[in-house]
Order: sequence, then structure tokens, then C-alpha cells
Amino acid sequence: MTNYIIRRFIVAVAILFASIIGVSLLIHVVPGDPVIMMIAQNSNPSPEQIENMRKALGLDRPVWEQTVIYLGKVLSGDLGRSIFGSQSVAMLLFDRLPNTLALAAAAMVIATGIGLPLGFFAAYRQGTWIDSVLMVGAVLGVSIPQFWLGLILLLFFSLTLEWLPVASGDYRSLLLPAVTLGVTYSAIIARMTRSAMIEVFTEDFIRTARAKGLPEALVLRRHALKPSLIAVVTIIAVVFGYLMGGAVVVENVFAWNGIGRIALESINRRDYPMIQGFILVFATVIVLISILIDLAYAWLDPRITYR
Amino acid sequence: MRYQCELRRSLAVCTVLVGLGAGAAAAATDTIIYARPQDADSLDAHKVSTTISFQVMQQVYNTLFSLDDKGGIHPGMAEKWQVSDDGLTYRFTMRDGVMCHDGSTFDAAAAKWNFDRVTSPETASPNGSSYGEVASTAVEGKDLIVTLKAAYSPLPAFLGGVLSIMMCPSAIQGEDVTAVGTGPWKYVSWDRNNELVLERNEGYKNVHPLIKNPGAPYMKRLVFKTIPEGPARMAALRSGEATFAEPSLADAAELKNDPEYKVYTAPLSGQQAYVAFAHKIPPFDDPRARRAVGYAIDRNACVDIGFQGLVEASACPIAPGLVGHDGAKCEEWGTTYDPDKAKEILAELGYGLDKPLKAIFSVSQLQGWDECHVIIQQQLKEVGIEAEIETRQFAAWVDHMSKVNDMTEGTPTIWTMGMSGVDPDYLVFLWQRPGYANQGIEDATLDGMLREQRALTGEARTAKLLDIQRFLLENGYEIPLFSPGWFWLSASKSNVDGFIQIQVAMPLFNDVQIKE
Repeated sequence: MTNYIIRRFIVAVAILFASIIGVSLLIHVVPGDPVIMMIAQNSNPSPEQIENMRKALGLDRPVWEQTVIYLGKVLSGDLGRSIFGSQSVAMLLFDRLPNTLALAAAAMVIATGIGLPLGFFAAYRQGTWIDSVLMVGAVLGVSIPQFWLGLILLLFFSLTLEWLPVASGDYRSLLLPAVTLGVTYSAIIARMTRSAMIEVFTEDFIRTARAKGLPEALVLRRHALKPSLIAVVTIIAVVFGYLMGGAVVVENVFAWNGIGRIALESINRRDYPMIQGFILVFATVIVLISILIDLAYAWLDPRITYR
Repeated sequence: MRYQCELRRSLAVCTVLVGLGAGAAAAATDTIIYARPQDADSLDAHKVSTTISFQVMQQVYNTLFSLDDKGGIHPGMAEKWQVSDDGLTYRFTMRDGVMCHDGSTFDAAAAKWNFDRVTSPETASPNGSSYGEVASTAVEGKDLIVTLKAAYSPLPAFLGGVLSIMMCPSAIQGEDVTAVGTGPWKYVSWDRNNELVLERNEGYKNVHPLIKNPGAPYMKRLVFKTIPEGPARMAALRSGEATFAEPSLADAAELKNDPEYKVYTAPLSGQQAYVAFAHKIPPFDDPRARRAVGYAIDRNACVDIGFQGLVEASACPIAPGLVGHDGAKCEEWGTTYDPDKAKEILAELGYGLDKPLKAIFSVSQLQGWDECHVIIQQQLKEVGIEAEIETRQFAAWVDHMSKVNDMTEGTPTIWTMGMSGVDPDYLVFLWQRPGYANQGIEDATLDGMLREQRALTGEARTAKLLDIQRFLLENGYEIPLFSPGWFWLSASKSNVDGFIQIQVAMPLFNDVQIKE
């Protein structure tokens, strides 16, 4: 097990390095120059001053050289400074990361709280009108654009009912974005849970349990639910990744101060160190979750061993 | 029984939500909350040049001079200046009693520190060009003496603009900024991307000609709140959570007809929007073709329909309110809407409704401009120019246009752009080779005039600036459209008084009062 964890961490580090190199090269393929963006609004520097700015930011060097320098900095724990405002990238991101994680976690609670029971119930009532209604609802849930749902909730609860602030920045502001994200992804969880459960319901051990005369509630709880947990954990891990991505849109709608918002702004302005830092932090969170999920498998099903 | 249970549950949910919403009430009446789409990048005045950052710094820091509504220069932290006959040496005399928020005095040495830091290659400031080419700086008593390598007459005007805003030296400690200035508002706290809190500087003495209040701001606190989405900002304004909000164009058009709200534009912004061309690619290498486009465009349609009357038509390359702007003369030299004349010129060049000129209309995404672009496209079609609109995100657009503007063959390209400033010297940045996005013109006469205006002052400079505009308009290089056009709208409820926006669309809150 220890060996497996060590190997998994080595692979994780390799993945992170690959993502750093990938994003460092890709951001230069996208058209746009951060220095030109910086001077676009007000200042009118001479060509020499523009060149001097580019030099000071290290943007005059070849892309491969910029990538190597960045990798070196990352290894020494330095994510660099933003082009716009010369702020520490690590500080800007790590200050906001807890907010994004809190939003993703709150949305996850809502999504699983709604999605799991509905998926389970739909599978149990497979082929009935209840199943059809629930799955049509799930398709609608997946199809609703998050920014639209978010704005509707915001206008209704904050403006019409005046129950919640538009953008207080505290825990009260977490409710609506978490509901927006949670409702959307509960639909995905419901659909995936339903598929997993339908498979479990066809297993021999379920038939055997029923044949033994066990009460239906016990069959469902003890024999059906537990084996399906591995599939559910996988679903949750996948959905958590989606939630982190979805947070980029929802954070903007609700002025929630997470890394998604800052990423969007940085991409628009071609703030390279910020984009690199965001991808690195984002990839790290996803890779860590994937490791935790692998470990959770072994805990949930003792038959699974890692060598 | 079941209904009772449901009712009880609903009441419980309501109670929880009302409890949560206890803070959803309106902001305190001694606090101004200004909701805007983005947050400042930094409060280091020498390292950033975005409008959104300057909107905050304008409140905390101050400038050596201040500008009135006609661009006239008045005292700021300096009371006067003298310039040598050769235009190379400036002597700025500092005003007595200008105090930094930390209790230190803002004197000539502090002003020198700003000049030195912002013009140092190490700082690589995007605003360094505002100060001209500085050769040396020195302090003599109350005076700061600045020697330039080349004459630069826009210097005093720039020193009255937000681009040359000055910090107190104690603001910078290594790489950290603590926002110590001499402005009407003092820095309190900053939760980045959420809110930036300022409180009034009780000892403030105003000398700005556009501010009526002689002392500290009337309101106690000023909070810059970041709310990225337009509908959410409007919700904050309507619910009273924000005192001011930047509305979308559609919201502004609706609010201006609502007596409960006020909409503020920025007539002094110094912003000028225009149409231009990839002028090396035929047929737009011919001034006749460029002017034909000018005759085809009715700028008033853009203003009235596209921008709902929230901008002003402007026929000059230099924005209204800046030195050298002369609407009557620009109309005489440039083109005004005359589709028949456009058709006549295009016929001379071999184009017509039966044989249209096919072109690209390259534009970037800016709020409210889409409709104007479609109007222009339609107007061009009516005279025989079929222009296909290509919209790019701004960074990609600049990159694209930098390549297209350097091409000598390819698809004829028409594009829109805008520029702002506190002085028309931005014409150098735009039109002297290479120019912004390589739009500069290779022409010795124009180059000479752009250089010469920097060495002239007063009426002689105004005359030279008019000559430059005449050159641009008669040759059809620029078809001016309107002013302003970006970051220029604000809205509040009608019980708010005293808000103004000055040059570069900077908001001023010193006179703001909220009636109960």
C-alpha cells in the first residue's frame, strides 16, 4: 500500500509538471500580448518603453526559456508575480482557494443530497412513470445554463424577496451559488447513480437476499447500497472536478471571491503567471482528489488491494 | 394535519432565510458603496495603468496639478510651474501644508521620489511616458526641478491627470504597497476581488476646481465593491446594497427614464472612438476610398440608436474637452453623412451596388458597440461596401490588427478603436510609426507635426494640433465617431447628489451626499 501511494504521488508530480509545461506553451499560442493589454486603456508609451516593459517582465525571451525559468521558480516554491499589478500569484490564489473549495464542497453536499436519493429511487422504480419524471427532471437540470439559473435565483431571492444580499462576501453569499451549482450537478449525480444502481439490482446477491425473505429495506440498505458506493464515490470525484470548473462561471454571477473569477480575468488579459498559477493549483486539487478516491476504494471494498 | 405540517415547515424555511438576510438591507447612509465589474490590480500608482485601478487611486493619492472642465491647469499638490525657454527645464513649486495620511509632509523631495521611481527602467512603468524623457531631477527648497532630454509641453497637463498620480514615499516598502497618499480618502482595508474600504481624510483641504466641497468628503466611508455580472450590480443598486453601480448600456437607457434613478455619463472623459483602416491595403491606400467610408457613416445613428443617446457625436480625432478639439473645423475638414457622395466616389473607384467592395470590419468586444457596428455595416452596404463583421476578444483583436495593419495586400479592412487621455499627445502614440497595433502612418509631414507639437505651448500648440487633425481628416485616415464609450456609465438612486466623473472617466466622491 505504501509503495502504491509513493508511486501514485510520483505520477501526480509528473502530471503536474506536464500540465505546467503544457499550459506555458499553450498560453503563448493564444493571440494577445499582456504588455499591449496593460497599456491599452490609458497610457501612451513609446516603442522603446514597451520593449523595456517586455524585458522587465521576461517576455522578450523565447517561450522555452520562459518555461524553464518558470519551472525553476515553481520548484523553489515561487509562483511568480502577476503582470497586472505585480502581486504575488501564490498569495492571490491561496487567499481565494478556500472560498472556491468551500463553494465546491457546499455545492457537493447539495448535489449529492439531491442526486443520490433521486438516482437511487429512479433505479428502484426503473421503467415506471416515477423513473421517467425523475430522469426528465435530471435532463432539464443538466441542460439549465448555470449563469441563467444563478441570475434567476439572485434576482428572486435578493431583489424580489430581499432575503439574501447580492454580494455580501460572507457565508450568506454562499447559499445561492452553492444551490445553483448543486442543483445542476445533482442532475448528473442522479443519472449516474441510477445507472450504477440498475446494474447492482440485477446482481445475483440481490436476488438471493430477496429469496431469503429479507425485508426490502434491508436488501436495499445492506445489499444494494454498499456495493454501489464504489461507483458513487467515483461519481462524486468526477463531479467535484466539474464543480471546480463550474465554479468559474458561478463565482462571476454571484461575486463569490474564488480563484475561478480571478482565472477568468487573467485569461482575458493574458496575465501569464496568473494563468499558470491557476492551472497548477487547479490541477493539484484534482490530482489530490483522485489519489484520495483511490484510497477510498480500498477502504470501501477490502477486496481491493494496491501493490 | 399534513397541511399544518407543511405550513410549519415553510415558516421555518422563511425564518431561516429572513435571518440570513438580515444584512441584505441598504448600506449605511454615511457610506458610499460603488459597485463595479472588476477590482483594482494594485495600488502601486507606478505599476498599473488600468482605469479600474485608477478609480481607486484617484481617491487615495493626488496629482501635482488639477484640470478644469476645459483642460485648464490649476494647482494641486504643486502651486505653480515655470518652464525654461528651450522647454527642457521645469521648476515645480510645491504647495505648503500638503500632508500624507501617515502624517508626513508631501514636499519636493516626495515629488522627486515619484519622478525617479516611475521613470526608472527598473520600475518598467506603463505610465512612464506621461513624464516625458526625464534626464535628471533635483530639489531646491520648495521646488522640484525636472530636466528633460527633449521638449515636452504636455507635461503640466499630464501632471494634472490620473496617470501621473503621486504616492507618498512611505507607501512603498520593498515590494509591498500600503497606499499612503494625500487624497481625500484614506486606505482602510482591501479584501481583494471583494471590497476595498476607504475612510474620509478628515484633514483634507481641496483645491480641485471641479470639487465644490472645500474640506473633507461629506460621507464617512467609501467602499469599492466588485460585482462582475451586470444584472447582479443592478440588483445591488435597486436593493440599496450599492449607492452607485456601473450599469450596462441597456440598463442605463432604462434607468435614465426612471425618476427614481440618476445616470451619469463622463463628458470630460477624454475618450474618442473612431473608424480607421488597414491603410496600406488597396483600395484603402487611397484617401478617396477612406473618405467614401466616412461619407457613408452617420455617426448620429450610432449615438442615438446604438448608444441610446448616452454618448455624444464627435467629429474630431481629439476628444471634446481636450486642447485642440474644434468640432466646427473638424466637420469642415472631415466627412459628414452623405451617402450620395460616398456612392459617387466609389463609382470613380470602380465599385457600386452592382459591384460591391468586399471588406472585413474588424472589431473588438466592447459594451454597447455591437449595435453601432451593425449600424455602420448597414450604412456601408447602402453605398456598395459589403463589410463582414469579425469580432475578437480585445487581446486577440490587437494581435490580429497589428499584423493586418502592416500588410500591403489582402482583404480590405475597416476597424474601430478608441483612445483616451488628459492631453491630445496620444495622437503620437496612435499615429506615429509604429503606432498602436501598428496603425502609425509613414509620412514625414505628419511625423514632423507630431514632434513639433510637443515643443510648443499655448495657441501655437493648439494650431499645430489642428493641423495634425486636418491631415488625418482630409486624408481620411480617421473617421471620428463619438465620445466617450467605455467605463463611462454610472448610476445611483435619485436621492444621491454631488457625484461627478472627470478626465479619463475618474469618479469623484468629495461632494457626494445621500438624502434620507
